Amino acid sequence: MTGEWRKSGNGYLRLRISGGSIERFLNLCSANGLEPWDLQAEDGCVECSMGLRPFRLIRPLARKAGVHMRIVGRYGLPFFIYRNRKREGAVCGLLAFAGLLYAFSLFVWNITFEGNYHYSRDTLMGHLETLDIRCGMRKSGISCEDLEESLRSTFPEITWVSASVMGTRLIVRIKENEVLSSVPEKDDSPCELAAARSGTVTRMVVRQGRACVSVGDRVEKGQLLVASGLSVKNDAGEVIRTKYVRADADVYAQTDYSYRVEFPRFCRQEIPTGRVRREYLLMAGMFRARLQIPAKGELAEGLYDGAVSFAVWLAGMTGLDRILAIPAQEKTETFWKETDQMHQLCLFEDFFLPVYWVETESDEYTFYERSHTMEEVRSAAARAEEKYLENLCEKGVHIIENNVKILEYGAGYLIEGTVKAEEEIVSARSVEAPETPGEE
Amino acid sequence: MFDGIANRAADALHIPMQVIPGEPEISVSGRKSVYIENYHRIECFREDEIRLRARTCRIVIRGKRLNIPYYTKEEMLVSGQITAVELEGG
Repeated sequence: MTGEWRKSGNGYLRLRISGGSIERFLNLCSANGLEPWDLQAEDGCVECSMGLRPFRLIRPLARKAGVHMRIVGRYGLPFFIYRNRKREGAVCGLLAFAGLLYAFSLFVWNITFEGNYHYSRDTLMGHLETLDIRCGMRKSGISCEDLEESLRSTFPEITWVSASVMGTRLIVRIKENEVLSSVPEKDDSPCELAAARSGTVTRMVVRQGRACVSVGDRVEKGQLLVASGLSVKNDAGEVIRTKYVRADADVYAQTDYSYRVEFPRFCRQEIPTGRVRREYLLMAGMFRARLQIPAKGELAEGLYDGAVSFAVWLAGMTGLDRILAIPAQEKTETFWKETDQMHQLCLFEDFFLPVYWVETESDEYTFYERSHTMEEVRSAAARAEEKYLENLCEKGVHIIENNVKILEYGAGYLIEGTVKAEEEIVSARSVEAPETPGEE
Repeated sequence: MFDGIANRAADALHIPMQVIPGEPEISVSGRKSVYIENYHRIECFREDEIRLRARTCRIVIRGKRLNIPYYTKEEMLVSGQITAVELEGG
């Protein structure tokens, strides 16, 4: 492909070679490195293509081989320019286009982030906004070093950043820290452990502190499990002072959970009618052009109500409906689901332009109300149960038993579930350690 | 003399024949094109026949609407509707 472009860019000729010894001429050409291409033999002549520079060098070879050459075609950019030298309008248009491209190339029209997982694009774009870096600004106004420095200092999880302007695109490549940036400090302040949930204690291991409950006890939420204060006694067995420690224990209890999900009796069944409406929106700066293509048969079936609706449709075609705020006339028993896809005009890999087009594909759906089948209710109950148990498992709760009941009532169904589980129920609670009296 | 020595040496050393200098190499892609390497010169170029001289033989390509998309001092691509590729002489 590059070779074709080069041939066209430099210009080439189509030659008809006749008389003398054509084969000798072709051998002389290849021996001198002046290779013609696309050779075709017909009626004792040979037609071939040749670049302008080799053509200036082959005359002695043609004389030597005794062949006659006739130019039958001139192709490529030099000849195109020569042929169109008197078309001022075209030349002006071409120059204006080139000027416009050059003017656009001075600005940034696209900002791309690569390698960001922790920080979203919106977060990073928000930060760029604070630095006055946005799409449409001059490329010369962007200091990549300052931008890198600012990103590194603002976002501590970013360990490496590289910003570069390529074409009309600002590319910010980021590497984020994948390990903890700081080790949490160990808290040694005194605290006691209380029950985070009500339940029956099944097992407990106390490493520090004084156990206030034992295995088999029923505890309520907020009840003290392990106390912080330890009594220090003298040889006579008298308490001389209380030492407050940071209580540390594993206390597991059997707990009960219950959940309730309401499920309506009726549902809306949506069925695609097969009609597809397409809409194209072109945006270039303040300019907006919209082309709406109605679904097949939409006009013919009178879905748009007569002439008024046709006017609405026409307004939709031209984009006037948005300016005049004309509502679309549509059937009430159907609705449309839209899927938008936005594209930005990109001439080359990094040469973005401020021209966007949005393709909207709308599928028409009709609907009716129907009651849920028992199969659907059971499957909804299973889904609710699965979701609830998944949430519990994520919290580290061990499920022992679970039951689900489906109750029917006037407006629908009630899905009730009970779960018996075992989990750690400790919750640290800081204690105010009174001033320790001096040892007597 | 030299060819005989070269051939025997290549045979003894298990060297592929393609690397012996001067031997033409011909690749035929269906009926559409023939790619020739190590040819010496063009002897005849007609739309139904192309004759090429190689160092050790003569290559004759027969067919209809034969043309040469490109050629250099050493290689050539012939396309068209090819009916026969023959090697003549020694």
